[in-house]
Amino acid sequence: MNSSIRFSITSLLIFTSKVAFCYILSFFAFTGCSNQGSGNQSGPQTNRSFHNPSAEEPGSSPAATPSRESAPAGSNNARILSAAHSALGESSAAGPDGGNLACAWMVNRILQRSVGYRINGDSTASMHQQLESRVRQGLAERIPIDSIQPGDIIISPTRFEPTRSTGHVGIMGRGGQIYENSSSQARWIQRRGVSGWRSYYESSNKHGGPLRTYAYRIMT
Amino acid sequence: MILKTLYSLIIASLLAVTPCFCEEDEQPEVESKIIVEHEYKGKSYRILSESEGYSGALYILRKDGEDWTAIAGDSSPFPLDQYGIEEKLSLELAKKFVEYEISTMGMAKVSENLSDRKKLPWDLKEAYSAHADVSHIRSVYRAKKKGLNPMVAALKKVENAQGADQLKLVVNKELAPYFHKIIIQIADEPKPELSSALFRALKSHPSLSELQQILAVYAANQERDFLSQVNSLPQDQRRVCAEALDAAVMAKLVGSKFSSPLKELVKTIR
Repeated sequence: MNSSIRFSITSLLIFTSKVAFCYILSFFAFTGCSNQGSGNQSGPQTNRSFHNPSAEEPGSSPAATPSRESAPAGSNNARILSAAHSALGESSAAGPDGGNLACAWMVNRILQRSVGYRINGDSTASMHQQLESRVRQGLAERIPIDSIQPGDIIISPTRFEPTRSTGHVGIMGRGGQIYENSSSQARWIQRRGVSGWRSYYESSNKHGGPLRTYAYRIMT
Repeated sequence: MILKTLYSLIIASLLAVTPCFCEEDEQPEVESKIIVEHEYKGKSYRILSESEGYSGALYILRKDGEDWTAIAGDSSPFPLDQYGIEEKLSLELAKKFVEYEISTMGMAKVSENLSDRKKLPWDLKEAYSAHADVSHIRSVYRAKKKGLNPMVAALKKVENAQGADQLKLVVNKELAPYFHKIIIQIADEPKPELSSALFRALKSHPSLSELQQILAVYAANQERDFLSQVNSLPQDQRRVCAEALDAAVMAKLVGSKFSSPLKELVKTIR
């Protein structure tokens, strides 16, 4: 058997098995047996399919649905959300390393504009430590990631040992989409959801190994 | 049922030809760039910039034999002495990083970044000072060692500080690096040596807001332990504690959820 025929048969077999697999998935979806869209955030490996690809970058998972879509007017969350939204498209090229290292720097700028202060330190690890300190002071709250709401801070702190694993920080937006700095674009963007975030930073496939994700609400 | 099956088959076929919807998330390519190479005391060091699409970080690498080991790293890891890197080396690496930033971003962008900064890591501030006026920006110092002893030592230095100028310097340089560590430690697991150091420092400087804040966090998170410690103090020191707690609540140094319980506590220990 020549190689092109063998290739065609292999491709056909793969295609058929994919159709069969997806048929089973879609059948369960229609009969209500699937857990798709349940909003379950049990781990980074859930909610892989049936999402709107235009809402997220290729390869990311659908957004988590926050328990409340808008922050109460006049609250810190509302102020942070408004400032984060207003900054969409803003360049971070003046930030560390021309915007490449500007995630915490941009979040701090948004906080400065909205609540009037920065969580000191343009690094994810120091920001995480200071947020924890603020929790002890009653000035912030640590939120279960499943209950994250617009205006909350989402953070996966970087670590350098035992392996280098680069983390990130962003601000939860409406529609389950996170505002964040894009290192590659040096720009404040909104493109992926909590599931997409977690499936990246908590993935065992992540370069340098998985990180933990935390959510915080600024109270005062 | 037939319609449902047909519909499912159509969707299944569509999903099969668009495999990215069904498959595992792909991890973006990691871009690594060595931006600084440096020699210090016969050892080789590098600053590595790593980018993963959305996020990026700087890592400080040291050559150990044939391998490069990461000894520090974060989106902005300065001041580097927080990772136990010698101050002189921290400064040399910060200077090279700033030179790299200026050469790639241009001085205008760097100045824009500096224009709204109120604080800067001490090594970066020193490095920027060769290129711009940063004298109005406060320095940020970091804890060099982990553990309880440096926190107790920092409080001891506050206790011994005399005069407003010296106190301000000690608070900025000695207490500030440990402030958040002390807060977390005293809220989660207060140790007698830490609380004793706090009470002594507070006795010397009862109106220092940093101490009032630590005291309020201690009282709010560890009420039983706090009361047992306070009740063993002489009457005059108990009064100092009560006034400091009151001041912390009035100045909103703690969140509103702590205000009422702390006010009650003030009445108890007066």
